[in-house]
Amino acid sequence: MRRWEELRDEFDKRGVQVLTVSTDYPEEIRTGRRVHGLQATMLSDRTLAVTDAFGLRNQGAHSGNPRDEIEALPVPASLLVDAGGKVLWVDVSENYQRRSGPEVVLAALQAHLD
Amino acid sequence: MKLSMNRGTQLGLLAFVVAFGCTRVWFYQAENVALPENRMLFLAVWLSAVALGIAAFVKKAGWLGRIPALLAIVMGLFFPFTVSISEQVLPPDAIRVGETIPSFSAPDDSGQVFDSARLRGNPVLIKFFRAHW
Repeated sequence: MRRWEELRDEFDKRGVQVLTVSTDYPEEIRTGRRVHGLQATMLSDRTLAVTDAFGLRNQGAHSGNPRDEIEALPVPASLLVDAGGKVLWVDVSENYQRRSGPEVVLAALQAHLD
Repeated sequence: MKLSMNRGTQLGLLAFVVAFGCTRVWFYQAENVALPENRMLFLAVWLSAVALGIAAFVKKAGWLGRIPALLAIVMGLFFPFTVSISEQVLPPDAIRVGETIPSFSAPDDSGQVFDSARLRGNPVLIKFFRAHW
């Protein structure tokens, strides 16, 4: 997440709003935001309602923190959506230890919005 | 005081250096989002650190060797385990390019409910992630 902030100017230039979804509690997200200085709308999806609406609940082994009382986790994914709500680009990590870096996101912005 | 090291202690220290070095490279690559698709080399190095650690115990390492050997064994087993459970499986109805996103609402980090209707009119980058790291 931290590294996405490097793209702040690129987002602003194209009027892109940034929205994050995680299963963390709002308080945890607040702490994370303070630590990383993130500027984004950050949603807390404890019930996985948003995750399920997008069909992104991980069906593989659940490797979350067992104390966290979350039954599943989303597959890490990035989506670029146009102003009308149509999906322009999806990047899904088949492995949670791989995530889209800023250069992948920037390439998507340039390919779909410029 | 003269520090004498038997073969076991040397193996223990070597095991730790190998396991630690491999883990360090792993995190460096992970932070830079460049973990290789094929992790066999990482697995091989971690598991050889485990083997070295066990060898250190077999060769009766002194305390100076046993502690790093134990750390090497733990590290060398833990990371291959996380690699093995890291595969993600999407449901068949996962969202695809060209589809319109569903409407949704969820609390934001200040506890206010955010409604997806507010997204219309601007391009949006949506990121689903597993935890704040």
